[in-house]
Amino acid sequence: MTGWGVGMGKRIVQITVNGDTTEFLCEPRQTLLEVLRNTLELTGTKEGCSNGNCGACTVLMNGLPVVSCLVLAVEAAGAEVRTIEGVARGSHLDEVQSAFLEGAALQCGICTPGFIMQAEALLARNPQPTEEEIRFYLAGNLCRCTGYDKIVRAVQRAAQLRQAAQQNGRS
Amino acid sequence: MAPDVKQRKYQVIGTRPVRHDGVDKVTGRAKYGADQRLAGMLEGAILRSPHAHARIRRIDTTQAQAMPGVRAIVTAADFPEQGDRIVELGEGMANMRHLSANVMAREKVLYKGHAVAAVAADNVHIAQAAAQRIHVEYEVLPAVTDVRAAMREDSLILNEEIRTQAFGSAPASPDAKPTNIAKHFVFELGDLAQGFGSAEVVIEREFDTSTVHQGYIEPHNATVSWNADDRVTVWMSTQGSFTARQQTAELLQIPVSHVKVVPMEIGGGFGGKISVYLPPVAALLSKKTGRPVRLVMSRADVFQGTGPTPGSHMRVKLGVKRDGTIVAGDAWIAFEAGAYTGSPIGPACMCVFSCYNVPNARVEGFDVCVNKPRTSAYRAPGSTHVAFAIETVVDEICSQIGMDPLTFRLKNAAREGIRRVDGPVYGRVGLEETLAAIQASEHYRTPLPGKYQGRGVASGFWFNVGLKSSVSATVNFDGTVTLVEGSTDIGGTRTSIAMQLAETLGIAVEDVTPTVVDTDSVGYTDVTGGSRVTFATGIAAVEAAKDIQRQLVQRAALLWNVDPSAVRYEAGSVWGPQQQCLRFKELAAELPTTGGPIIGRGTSSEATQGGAFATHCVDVEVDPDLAKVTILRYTAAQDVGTAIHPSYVEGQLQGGVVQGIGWALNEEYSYDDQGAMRNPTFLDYRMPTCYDVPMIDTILVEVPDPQHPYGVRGVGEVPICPPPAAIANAIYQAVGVRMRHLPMSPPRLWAELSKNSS
Amino acid sequence: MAAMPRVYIPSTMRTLTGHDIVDVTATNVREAIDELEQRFPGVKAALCAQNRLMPGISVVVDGRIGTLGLWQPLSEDAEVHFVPALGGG
Repeated sequence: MTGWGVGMGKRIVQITVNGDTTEFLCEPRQTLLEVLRNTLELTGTKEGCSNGNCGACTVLMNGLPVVSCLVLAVEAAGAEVRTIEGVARGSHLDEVQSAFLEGAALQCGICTPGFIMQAEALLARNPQPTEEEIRFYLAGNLCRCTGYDKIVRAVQRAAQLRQAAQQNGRS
Repeated sequence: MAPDVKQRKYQVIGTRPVRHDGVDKVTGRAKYGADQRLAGMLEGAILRSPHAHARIRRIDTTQAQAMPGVRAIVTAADFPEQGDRIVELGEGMANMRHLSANVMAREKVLYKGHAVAAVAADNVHIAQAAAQRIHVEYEVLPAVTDVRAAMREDSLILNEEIRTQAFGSAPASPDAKPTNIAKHFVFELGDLAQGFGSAEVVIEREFDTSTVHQGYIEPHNATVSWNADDRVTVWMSTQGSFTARQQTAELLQIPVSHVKVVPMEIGGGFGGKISVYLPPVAALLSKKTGRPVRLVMSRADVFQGTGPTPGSHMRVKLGVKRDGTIVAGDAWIAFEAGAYTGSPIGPACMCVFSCYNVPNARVEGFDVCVNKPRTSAYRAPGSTHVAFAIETVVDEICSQIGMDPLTFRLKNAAREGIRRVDGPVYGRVGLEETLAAIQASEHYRTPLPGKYQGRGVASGFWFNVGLKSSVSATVNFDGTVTLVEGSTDIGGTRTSIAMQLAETLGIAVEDVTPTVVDTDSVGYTDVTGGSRVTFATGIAAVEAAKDIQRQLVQRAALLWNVDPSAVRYEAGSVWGPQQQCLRFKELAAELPTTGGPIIGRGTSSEATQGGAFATHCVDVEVDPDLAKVTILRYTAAQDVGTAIHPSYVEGQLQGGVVQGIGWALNEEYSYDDQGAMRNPTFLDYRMPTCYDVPMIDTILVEVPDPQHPYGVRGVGEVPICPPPAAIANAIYQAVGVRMRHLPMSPPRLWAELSKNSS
Repeated sequence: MAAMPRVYIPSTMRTLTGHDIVDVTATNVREAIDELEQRFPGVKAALCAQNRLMPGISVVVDGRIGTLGLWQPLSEDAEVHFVPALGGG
């Protein structure tokens, strides 16, 4: 296995987060969520329930969405992890972020990072999802403020924006 | 010439700008309570009672204290004695003995999840392990978990010092018998016997609702630093930094001015983040260790240790003439306060008949202690319960007399001049407009022919409160304005407040930078709750803008060498007697040489708003085999006064509706016979996901509230009131059964369907 | 008859007053309660604690919750109610 070693009860783990390769020390019982927030100080990923029910801690691991509270940090050894902090390109928001912002798809905002990561995963595999597909794919993320209406519309809008951007890029 | 402002009533109000805190919230930069990290910070854990009702005989912390990495342990013995002091906490009051015992159990535990001891350690894992090694010896007592059982004369008593306090009566003598009935309300209007005597159709029904939780996604948290000078700083998520400050100071019995609360971004509240749980505990741990301490609840702690909204038992009787005129109403309502007194039974009594002209009425209400968590506010506290009862009785009456439910409601609707059961008379309100809006909607006019499909309507009311707010606003020399406020922003209120300031000054909302600051940096501000912020903090912002206008007029008068009375402020400019004009930005640039900075200030202390009404229409489909209810279509019409930022107004309606759908169909605390909650996770406490609901259509009806300069009415709370009743009425249309117990979950609906078919 | 402020008596207090409605000559809420107390002893103890309105009670004057408690002024034809204090979520 690559990327981790043993010492004093803690493990050294190497992962790539938002494009930067980094190493950290962790106990085997620590979750990826805890390490992201407390060790790597990437607090954009939120903790809502610690047992995989709410989706607030969703990040992409090797391109797939995971609830980082159910992934042990040592399991992430060698992985490419993308968090909410790695979505914007420099100071430019990506289409999902812009659509959430302009569509008022957040109220308190605590679930927003998880929804954005899940939506990124959806649009990567299905660039033109139907409303039904969006609702199904986001069903693991709980939002208590918005009633989901504007979140679903924001994902629809993001799909349009991304398609338009790609067409512009091609022409 | 002044710019033409007549084309549109407002320049800023009614537009949909991007919220000021939005970028931080879509990039993960916004700092919420649990994101706080300080040098040398310890982390804590709380040991909670496994029993719903028990006497604490002994707490032994020796083993935990000896663990490496454990820095301090506190129990109730570390908290000051409170006595039976009643303290006003801005929004509501509390008996400090109860508030303190709720934060850390003393003598008895009154619910499973009640805090018993707390540990601070080098990290959270050590703290949690140490908490498990604190040994508590309990004398377990039977749990009292049913509201009617708790009211019986022979019931086991939770709090020996509680005597029934009847509204409008002197406090009961301490010699009176202890009871679980903490409060008793009676409201009467007209002549009830004569009213029912003249009725031609009378329906009386009983209802139950289960305990439900606000379900905010962010758990409670607090990071506290107790400095060597006995000054305490609290970083936390709270709906009200000033009430959090006051509660923390009162619980620790230190001067309120020695506590500074720094409100972090808050991940939802819905009424559940007003009462304080963690700050006093973290404060004592910090005092003992000399280091900052962070406490964060787990989801199970949130469910079991923080206030849900009460379960209830209700009886409602309504009498009408055959032509649909309501002549009399009688209601009996008992709310489970939880461990200590304080359910919203008063407002519930005042809301039960609030949508109607009921000339002869009586309402009786009881606040009853049971071995469940101390309840706290939840979105229109008490109103959803009673709306479920009255609105389904109304629907049944409509079926019986063969009248369209909207026509019936329009005939009897509360309107200006109608006297409520609690006495006062309504001012200008917009219930009729919401009924008419649903009646005219494409949704209501489209037939719903499917088998097992049904449509229901229901209305709801919430008072909306005013309370106190403060803001200050500084004009920067570049022509922008920095707005400082004390209202924590849960749903975009930085922007709705900034828009009112911008409108009044005639500048762009993008030129206003709103900031929510700590309790040392702004005047007293009550909670973000009661649908009050856009209304009351909005008024304060308008006042601050007018204060700026006055000062700008004086500066322009100086520049033009004219009397200030000859200068006027209009449409973002100052105008002189010879039609001289300086735009806001131009004049701002002159400030350094005309007297320096300008700071506008504004406060508001409007105690009440005009009230908000909503009418909802829902289509459902019932699966006859699974007894599962699917929401097919939903439309919510609401009197929103004036929609400042329509997107966020719609969002409040949509969010309230979906919370109401959860309450209607799935959410409940499931208790075992020992009073233990069996489902303290989001997997088993089943809140709606986006796969459970359709788009929520909204109709914003605007009947301006004359008490606000722009006609704002609070919008946040009332949308949760109609959904359970509207869905119950739709279920009846779909499958012919009347549901009278929330939630109308598949097992309960199945039981009713089985009765029908047998 | 000249208009007078009119106090609506809370239901549970009507055993003390024997009336639903009592007209008073007071010019603020404090005076109104004092006047009621003179005529119907016990009223003050039911509404006030330590010279303030009891926590949990609000006074409504002419349809609006007063912000000034006992110092809320009453016009000649004021309508006065005592209602449970309101909060919200």
